[in-house]
Amino acid sequence: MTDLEGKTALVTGSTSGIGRAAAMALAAPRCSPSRPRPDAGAARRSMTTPKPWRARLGRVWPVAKYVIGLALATLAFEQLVGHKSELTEATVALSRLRWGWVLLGVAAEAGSFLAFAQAQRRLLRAGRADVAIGPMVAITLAANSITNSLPAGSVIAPVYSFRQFRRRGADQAVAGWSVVATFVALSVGLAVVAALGASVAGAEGASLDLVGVTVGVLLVSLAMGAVFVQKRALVRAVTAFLRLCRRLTGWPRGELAAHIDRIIRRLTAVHLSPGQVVGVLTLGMAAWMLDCGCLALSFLAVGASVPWEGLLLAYGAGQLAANLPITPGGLGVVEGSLTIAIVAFGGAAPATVVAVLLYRILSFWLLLPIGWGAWAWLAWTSRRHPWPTCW
Amino acid sequence: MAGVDQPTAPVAHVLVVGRNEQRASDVVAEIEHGGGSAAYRLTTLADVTSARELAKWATETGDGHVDILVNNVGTALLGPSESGTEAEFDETFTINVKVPFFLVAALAPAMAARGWAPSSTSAPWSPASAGQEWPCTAQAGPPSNR
Repeated sequence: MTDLEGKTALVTGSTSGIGRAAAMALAAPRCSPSRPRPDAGAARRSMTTPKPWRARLGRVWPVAKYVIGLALATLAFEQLVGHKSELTEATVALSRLRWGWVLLGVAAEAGSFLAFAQAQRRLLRAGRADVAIGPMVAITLAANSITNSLPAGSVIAPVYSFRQFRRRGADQAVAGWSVVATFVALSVGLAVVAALGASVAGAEGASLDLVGVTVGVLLVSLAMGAVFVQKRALVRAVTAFLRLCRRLTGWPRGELAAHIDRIIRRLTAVHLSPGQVVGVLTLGMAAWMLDCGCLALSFLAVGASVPWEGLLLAYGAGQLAANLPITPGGLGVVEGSLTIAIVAFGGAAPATVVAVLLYRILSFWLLLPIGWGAWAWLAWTSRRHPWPTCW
Repeated sequence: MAGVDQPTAPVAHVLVVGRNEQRASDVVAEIEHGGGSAAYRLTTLADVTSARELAKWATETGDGHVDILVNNVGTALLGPSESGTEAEFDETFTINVKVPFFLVAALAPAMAARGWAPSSTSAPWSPASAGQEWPCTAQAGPPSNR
């Protein structure tokens, strides 16, 4: 081994990626490995010779991606057209709107997305990946549109975000971790908002059986958040989960310890300080509260009084319903659950229906074209985005 | 002990070079936290002058000598060749070829005189897929003094 004592090493492009790894390796205490080294030749061969299935995929992908894109677009169109009656009903009510409140509702929705994007930025920054607020808002909007317009969108959107983060300098571990961390932070935030709503609603909520469900979701979310930040608990949870998976499905094959180690390394790629945890959770809750604010402003926009007592709980329940993978964006499910819950709290039924429709226009329909526009913009600019790994 | 890595000291004094102060100071802090020593300099490495200034700073900061140079800086613009502009080509060629060349030129004589001149040049290319052959034209070029 080369003796580095007293040597000076100049490493250009060493603030991230491979250069950073080189700088850390030169500065880290040297180790004398007594384990045999892996076969470097084999590693090189596996890097340069693509596997047959990968080569075949590479040949068909240029055509296949357009076929898949067209199929997804057709499915999305069908899903959305099936709910156009929702828009027709709302159009009638639109003629009597108070536009000042509508604009405030739009601002609240914009603030919600800004808070969401900022939470993701903070998580990425904790892993030393810096994404500007503009592209992050665009990624957030695009991912939202993917979730809300494609079947299985809630599965596709995290993959999309992951790829965008990778393009913008986050390494694989940090990008994957931040996607999971965002999900955890938003789940905990929503559960806290719903629990706050339950406490405000009091006895009325109990009569709707919403309190028990909400408290249950809160406990599960908090447990998930705690497990995520506590490594020992995380190891136990992942181990138990993989054992259960193997017993039920036979997956994963091979050495279980290696799988556990790999997953744990990915999930603990970044360490958050207590201050960072609080900051991200606050932003997550702000995103939900501002979205709920948009709902409240929708009531004012249609000239109805806001049913404050049950609003937060109804909103929390509606959003929990939206996140069930029944229809893209919870179409129909959200309108139904929100309207029923708010009317049960004393909201006037016709006004509630119109207000909920307006809220869905502002927070769902309006955002769809904006999100797809953001997606197109990102796709266009990414074509010539500098590869970020070395400088 | 069989199967256990035996830690030994010491290690090189590392000079970190980048464009983002936060990231650069983070790398230095992490190295120092691990018991190593490091310093950083921010530069865009956009021309020969910046390469020479970096070499001068590195020599001064390295107590009169630089023994190892890792030329990791590099860039690649993705996209079809026909849409590449002359400015983009010049920028790519400057960062990937010209700057590493003059950096080596500025440091190699003193390295050779000390009998110690390993230089690593990164190859930050990714396999160019159809329609994306533009990025890597310059990257086969950086010189090595080995």
